Amino acid sequence: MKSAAAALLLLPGLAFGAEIRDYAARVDIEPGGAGRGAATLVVAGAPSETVEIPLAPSWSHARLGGPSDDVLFKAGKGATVRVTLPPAVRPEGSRFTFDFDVAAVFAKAEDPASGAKLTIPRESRTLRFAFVNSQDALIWKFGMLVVLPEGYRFQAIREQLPKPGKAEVEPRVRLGGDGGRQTAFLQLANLEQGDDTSMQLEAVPSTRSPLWLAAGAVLSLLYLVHFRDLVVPPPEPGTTR
Amino acid sequence: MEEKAPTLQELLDMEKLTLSAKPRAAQSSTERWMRYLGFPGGIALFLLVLYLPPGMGLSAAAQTGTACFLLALVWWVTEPFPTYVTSLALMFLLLVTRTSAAKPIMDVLGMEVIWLNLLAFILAAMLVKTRLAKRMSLFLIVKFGRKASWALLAFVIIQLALAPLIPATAARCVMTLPLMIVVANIYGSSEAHPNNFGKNMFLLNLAGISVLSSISMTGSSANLIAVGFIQSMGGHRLYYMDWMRAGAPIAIVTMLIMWFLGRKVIFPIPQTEQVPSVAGGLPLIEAQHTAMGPLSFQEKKALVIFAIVLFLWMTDIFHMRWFGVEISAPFAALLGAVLVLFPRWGVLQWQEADIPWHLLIFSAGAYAGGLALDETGAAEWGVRQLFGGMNLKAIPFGAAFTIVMAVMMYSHLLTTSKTVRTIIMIPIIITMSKALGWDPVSLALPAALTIDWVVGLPISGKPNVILFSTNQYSVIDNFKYGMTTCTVGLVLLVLSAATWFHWLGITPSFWAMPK
Repeated sequence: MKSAAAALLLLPGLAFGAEIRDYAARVDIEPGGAGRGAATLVVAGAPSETVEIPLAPSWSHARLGGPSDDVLFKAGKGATVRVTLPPAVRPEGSRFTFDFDVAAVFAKAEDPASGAKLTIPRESRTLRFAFVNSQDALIWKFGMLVVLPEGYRFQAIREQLPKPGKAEVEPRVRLGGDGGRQTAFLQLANLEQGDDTSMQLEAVPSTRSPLWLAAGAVLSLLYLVHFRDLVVPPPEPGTTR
Repeated sequence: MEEKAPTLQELLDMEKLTLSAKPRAAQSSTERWMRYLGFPGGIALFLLVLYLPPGMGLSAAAQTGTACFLLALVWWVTEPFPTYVTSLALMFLLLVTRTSAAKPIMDVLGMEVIWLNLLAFILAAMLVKTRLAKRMSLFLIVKFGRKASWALLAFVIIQLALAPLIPATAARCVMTLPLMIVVANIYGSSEAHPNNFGKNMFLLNLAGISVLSSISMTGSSANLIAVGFIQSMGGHRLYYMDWMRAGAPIAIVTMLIMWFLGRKVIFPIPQTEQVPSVAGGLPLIEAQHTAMGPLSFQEKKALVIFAIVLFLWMTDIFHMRWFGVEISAPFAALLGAVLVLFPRWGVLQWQEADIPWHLLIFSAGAYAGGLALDETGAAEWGVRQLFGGMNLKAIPFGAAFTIVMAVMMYSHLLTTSKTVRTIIMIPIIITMSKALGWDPVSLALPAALTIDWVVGLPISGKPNVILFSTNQYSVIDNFKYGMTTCTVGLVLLVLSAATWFHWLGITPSFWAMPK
C-alpha cells in the first residue's frame, strides 16, 4: 500500500496538488537600468484550483499578456500572482503568459566613500537576479533569459547558484545572443518550496580600448629593432668576427 | 680543435647535472627566426583575438583569457624568452585584462601538483646525492646498454613497470630523470652536444610516462574523473579490467612502435651513437659498477625512504581504512622529504636539494592560463562550437568515432591540464553519444583512454616541462615525436573500434548508422 502511494507521488503526472511544469521568463534590460519582462508558464492541477505563482523579488506590476489558455489571473499577496485553472483541465496543463516590470537591476558601480577603493571599473555594471520558489507548487523547469541593452556585453559570470550537480550537463548560466544583443540564461529543474537559484553578472561596454593595440604595436617594433641580432647566425668555431 | 671527450667520472658526477634555467641556444636558422618573430607574432595573435567581434556565447573575460593563452602558447613554443618569463608575463596579463582575479592566479603556486613537483625533486636529489642513481644507471648500462636500442627498450620497460605503481607522472619523471641524463651522457648526448640518441631517450621516456598512464584507470587522477563521469552521466560502471583490456594493448603497442619509429625514422641513430661513447667503453663502465661495491649505509637509507614513499603512493586506496585519513601523493612525498632532510638521520641538507624553481614558476603560469580558460567557459565554448559545427548524425559510427577521438587526442595541444580537459570533454562526449543514439561508453571510454597522451608540446604536461629543461631537444623535435605518437595511437584506436573494441562489446559495428 505504502509503495503504491509512493509510486503515485513519484509519477509527476499523477501527483496530487498543482505543479508548474514550465516557467520560462525573459527580461529585456533597458539602458537606464530597469527592464521589462514576460513569463510563459504551464500549470497543471485540479479543476478550478487556484495556484500561487512566485515572482522574482525585482518583478512588479504583473499583468496577463500574450496568448493564454482559459485561466483567471490576478495579483497575489506579496511577490506572487494568483491563477485559477479552468473547470475543465487540460492533461498537458494550462499555458498563459504574463508581463511584468523589472526594477533597476542593472546597477552602475557605486562611488565609494572618498579614499576607499572601487571594486569594479567605473564603466562596469552589475546585474543580479534571484528567484525563490516561495510557494508550494513544484516547479519542474525554471528558465530565465536576461537580454542586455545594445552596446554592452558580459565581462564575466560572477555567481551562479546552486552549483550544477554531477549528472547535470548544462551549466547553471549559459551566455548566448538574441538579435545582436548578448543574453544570459539561468536554468534549474525541480524547484521545491524554498529552493532558490541566482546569478550575478558583470557587464561592460562592448567596445575595447585601443590602448592594447597601441601598446602591442610599440612593443613589437621595439623588439624587432633591438633584438635583430637573434637572427644573425653564430660564428663558425675558430673564426673571429 | 676538437673538444676533449668527457671521462666516465665526469659523466657520472651527477651532482653537477642540474636542470638548467638557461634558455636552450637556438640551433638552426629556423629556430632563430622563430625566436625573433615569436614575440611580435604572439602579440599579433593576442590583438587579433582581443579585437575580434565578440562571440555571443562568450564572456569578455573568456575572450581575453583566450587571447592571453594564445600569446603565451606562441611564446612558449617559439621561446623569445625563457618559458618561466612567459609564465610570469601570462599571469600579469590575466590580471590586467581582468580575465582572473589576483587570488586565483597567485593560488596556482600552492596547487597540489606544484607541491608534488617540488617534493619529488627533493627525493630525486636524494637518489643523486647517495649515489643510488649512479648505481642504477651503471647497472642499466651493464645489463642492457651494449646497444642503443636495448638501452632505450629498458627505459620503456622501466616506465611500464612504474606506471601502475606511481600514479603521479611528475614523480615518475623526476625519479627516472637522473638515469636518463647519465645514460644519454654515456651515449654522447649532453646539454651542450645533444644527439639523436638523447632525443630518442628523452622523448621515448616522455611518451612512456604519459601514454603508459592510460593502461589502468588508476594511472592518473584524470582517468578516475572520466570513470566517474561515465558512471554518473553515462549510467555505466567501469571496472578496472574493463579499462585495462581496452587501454593496455593500445598503449603498449604504441610504445613499441615509437621505440622502432623513433630510432629508425624520426631521429635515426647513426652507427657511432649505437654504442656507449665513453672512453674505455663498456669494460670501464663494468669496472666502475663493480668498484662501487656493496650498498652503502646512506644508499640503504635512501632505499628505505624511497620504499616508504612508494608504498604510500601504491596503497592510497587503503589509507582511509588503515589510517582513517588519505595520504595523497604530495603528502606521501612530503613525508619522504621530512625523512630525507631530518637532521643527523636524514641524507640531505636543504642546500643540497636541487629544486628548479624556474620549472615550478613555468608550471604555475601554465596552470593559471589553463584554469582561466576553464573558469571563464572559453574552453567549453570552443569544444561545443567545434562539435556543433559537424553533422555527426549523417555519418556512420566509425567516422564519428574517428572525429571524436582525433579532437580528444589533439586537443591536448591547447590545454595544460589533463583534469581540466577531462572535465570539459568527457561530459560533452557522453551527451553527444546519447543524442546520436550510441551507448555513451562506445565513445567515452576510448576518449578517456587518450586523456594521458599529452605529448605534443613542452607545455602539455608536467613531465614535458621537466624533460624539456634538459635542453636536449627542441620544441619542433617534441612536436614531431609527440604528433607521431598521437597519430599512431589514433590509428590504433580506430582499428580497435573496428575489431577489438567491437569484440569486447564496447563499440557497435563500425559502419552502423545513428538511430
